[in-house]
Amino acid sequence: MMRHPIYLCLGVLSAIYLSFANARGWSLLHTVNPARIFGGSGHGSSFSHK
Amino acid sequence: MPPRAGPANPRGVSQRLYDCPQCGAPVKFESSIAVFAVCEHCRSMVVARNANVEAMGVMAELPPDLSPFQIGTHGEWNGSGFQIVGRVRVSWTDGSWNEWCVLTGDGRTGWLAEAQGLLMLSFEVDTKGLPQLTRKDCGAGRFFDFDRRRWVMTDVKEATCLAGEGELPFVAAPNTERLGVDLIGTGGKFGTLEFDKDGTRLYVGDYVEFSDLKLQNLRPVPGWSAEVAQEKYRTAALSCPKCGAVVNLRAAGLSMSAVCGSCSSVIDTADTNLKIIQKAKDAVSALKPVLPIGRRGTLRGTQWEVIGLCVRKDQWVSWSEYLLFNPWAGFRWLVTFNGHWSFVTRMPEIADLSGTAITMGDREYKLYASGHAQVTGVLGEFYWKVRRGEHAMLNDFIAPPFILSKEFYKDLKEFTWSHGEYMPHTEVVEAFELEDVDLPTGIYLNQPNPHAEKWKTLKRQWVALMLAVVGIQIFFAMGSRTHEIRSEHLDFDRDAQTAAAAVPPVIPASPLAEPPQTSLTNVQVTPRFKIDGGVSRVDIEATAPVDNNWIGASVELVNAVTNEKFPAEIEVGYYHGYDSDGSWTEGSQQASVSIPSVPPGEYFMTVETSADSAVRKMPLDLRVKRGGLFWSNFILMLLLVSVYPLTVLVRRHLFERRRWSESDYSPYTSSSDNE
Repeated sequence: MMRHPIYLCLGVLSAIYLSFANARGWSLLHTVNPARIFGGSGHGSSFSHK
Repeated sequence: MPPRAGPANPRGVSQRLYDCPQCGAPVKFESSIAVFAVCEHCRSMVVARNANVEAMGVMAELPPDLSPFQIGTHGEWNGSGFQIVGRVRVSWTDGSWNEWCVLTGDGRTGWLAEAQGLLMLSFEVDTKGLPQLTRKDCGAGRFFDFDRRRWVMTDVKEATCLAGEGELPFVAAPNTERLGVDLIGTGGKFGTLEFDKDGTRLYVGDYVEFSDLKLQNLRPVPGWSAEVAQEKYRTAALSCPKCGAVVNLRAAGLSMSAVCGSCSSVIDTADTNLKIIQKAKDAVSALKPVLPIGRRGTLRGTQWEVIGLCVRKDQWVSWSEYLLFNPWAGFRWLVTFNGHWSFVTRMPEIADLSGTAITMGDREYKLYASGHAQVTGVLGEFYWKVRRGEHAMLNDFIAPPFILSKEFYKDLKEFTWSHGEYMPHTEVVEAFELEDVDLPTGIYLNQPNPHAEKWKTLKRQWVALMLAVVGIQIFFAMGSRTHEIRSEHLDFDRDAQTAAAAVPPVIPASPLAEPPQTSLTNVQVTPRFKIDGGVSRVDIEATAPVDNNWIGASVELVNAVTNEKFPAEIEVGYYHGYDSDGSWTEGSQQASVSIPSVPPGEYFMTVETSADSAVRKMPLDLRVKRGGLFWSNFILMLLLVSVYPLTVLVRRHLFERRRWSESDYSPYTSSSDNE
C-alpha cells in the first residue's frame, strides 16, 4: 500500500478536507465564487420547450 | 568365455566382467541387458552374446566436446536414481548429438539425449497398441494416437552412429543407420520413434533441466571448471580450411558450425573434415557486435559466454541475436533491437494452437507479427549449420514482458519454439561490462508497460480512497438534516420605493436594539432570529409569483452581536411563450442561494429588492434553512483522488496503442484499417 506515497497522502488529505468541510458546512467552490445562485433564475437559464 | 562374477551392486544386479578378446583387460557390463561395450584400454568393440564375448573391431574416436557428462555420472529423476553407463554419438546431415545410456535403480535402461542445449530423458516402452507406421508415414506435423496421448511428429532425421563408449544395450557399430522421429505428446511429453533393420522402437520421456537431475560426478569442463583453472578461458581451436586462420571453438562438440573471423567462411564443425558450409562473398564481415564474441557475463545467476552472433532481417527491420553458452545450462539467446533486449530460451516444441492467441500456463500470448526472416550475417559458432540467406517463417506471440516465437525452417523441415523475457538494457550492460551501448528507443514488442505495472498497485489504493470518500460523505449525509429556521414575507412596491428613495435606511445603532420592520424603505430589515447548532451551511430560498418578469434581492445575513455580514444575491425569474417549435418556458418562480460556514448566533437580514421595470408590486417570500452538505465537496474530492489513477490508465492505454501500432494484428485497429 505504500507504493504511491504521494498519492496516498493526497487521498488522506482529501478525506480530511471532506470531513472538515462537511462538519463545518464549508465549500471550496463557494469560497472561490461566493453566494452563487442555484435553481432557475435570471435570464437565459433553464430554457426548455414543453 | 563365461563372465566372471563381479561384486553385486547396491541394486542387487550382479556385474558381469569379461576379459577383452583383444587385449585381455577387464570389460565391465553393469546392466543386465547391456550387450555391447567398448574396452577402455584398447577401444575394441566387445559384444556379449549369451556366455561369450567377441571383438568387432576398434571403436572410432569420439570428437572432443564440452559436455559435462561422463561415464559414471549419476543423478535422480522422478524419485529414481540413475547412472550413466555408456554413450553414443549420433550424427545426421546437419549436426550431431550425444545420447547417454543410463541405468536406473530399478534396473531399467534409458537414454539421456543432449542436443542443441536441450536434455531429454526417455525409456523404451512396449509398442503394443502402436499404430502400424512405416517410414513413409513419417513427416513433420503428422500425428498418431497411442497410450491415451496424441503424438505429433516434429522432426524426422536419418541418423548414423558415429562412435560410442561404455556399455550399451545394442551393438553400436559406427555407421549404423536408423530413422529417428522426434515426437511431442499431449502434456509436453517427449518421444522418439526409431526405425532400423531390427524393427520399430518407441521411447517416451520428458524434457528435463540440468539443475533438476541432482547430478554428481560430473566431468570437469575445460575452461569452465575450477579443477582446470589453468585452462580457464582457453578454447578448443581449429584451422580454417579456407584461409588457415585459427578459429576458436567455445562450445566444442555442441556447436555444429563456426564462422572464420578472417575470411567469414562458415565451417562445418560437426564434420571432422571441417568442410566449408558457405564461403563469404566479402573477405571480412562488416559485423560489429555490441557483445564481443568470447565475452562472459552473469545473467540471472548463471555465467554465460557469448559464442555467436546472427543478424537477421525481415521486410522492414534488422535485428541481432547473440548465442550464449554455458556447459551445464546449455544455450540461450540475447535478442536485441533498437537498444532493447530479450533473454530467450529454446523450448521443446509445443503443439501448434492455430489462431491469433496461445494460452500457456496462466498467460495468453497474442500474435504480434508474422513474416519471413533471413540471416544476413553470422559470427562465431552455432548449434546448427547456419547459412547466410537461411530463411525462416516467424510468428511472434506476446504477453509482455514475455514472448513466444515460432520459427519454421522449410529447408530443415523443422519447427522450433522459443520463449523470451524482456531484459532491461542496464542488466545486459552491467553483466557483460559494456560501454557505449545504444539506449533503447521506441517501444519494443514485449517491453513491459510501465504504466500497467504502476496501475496494478495503484488501483487498490484508488478503490480504497474512493470508498473512503463515499463512506465519509454517507456518514455526514446521514447525520445532517436541513431545517427551516425563519420565514419572511416581503413586498416589493415600486411606488413606495420611489418615495422612500431619499430616506436612508434605518440600521440599528446598537447590536441589542431590535431593527425596525418596514416595507416602505428600499432596504428592508427582518426581525432577529437564531441560528443554532454548530457552524453550518445556510440556504436562503426566495419564492415569487413572477410571470414573464423577474424580481431580485440583495440579501445580507448579519450577525447581530459580531456584525459579521454574509452577503448573497438572489434573482427569481420565470418566462414562457410560444414559438415555431411549440411552447417554451425558462426559469422558475423559486430560487435559492447557499452561504457556507455560518456560525451559530443571533441574526437578522437586510434585503434590498429590485424587479423588472414592468413590475409595480410583487410579494416575495424568503425562507432561511440551516444544515445539509455541499455535494460539490464530494464531487471535487472524487475527481481529485481520480485524476492520477485516470492519468495512469490513459497512459497505459496510449502505451499499448503505440506498441501495437507496429503490428499487423493490432487490436486497436478495425479490419478495414488493416486493408
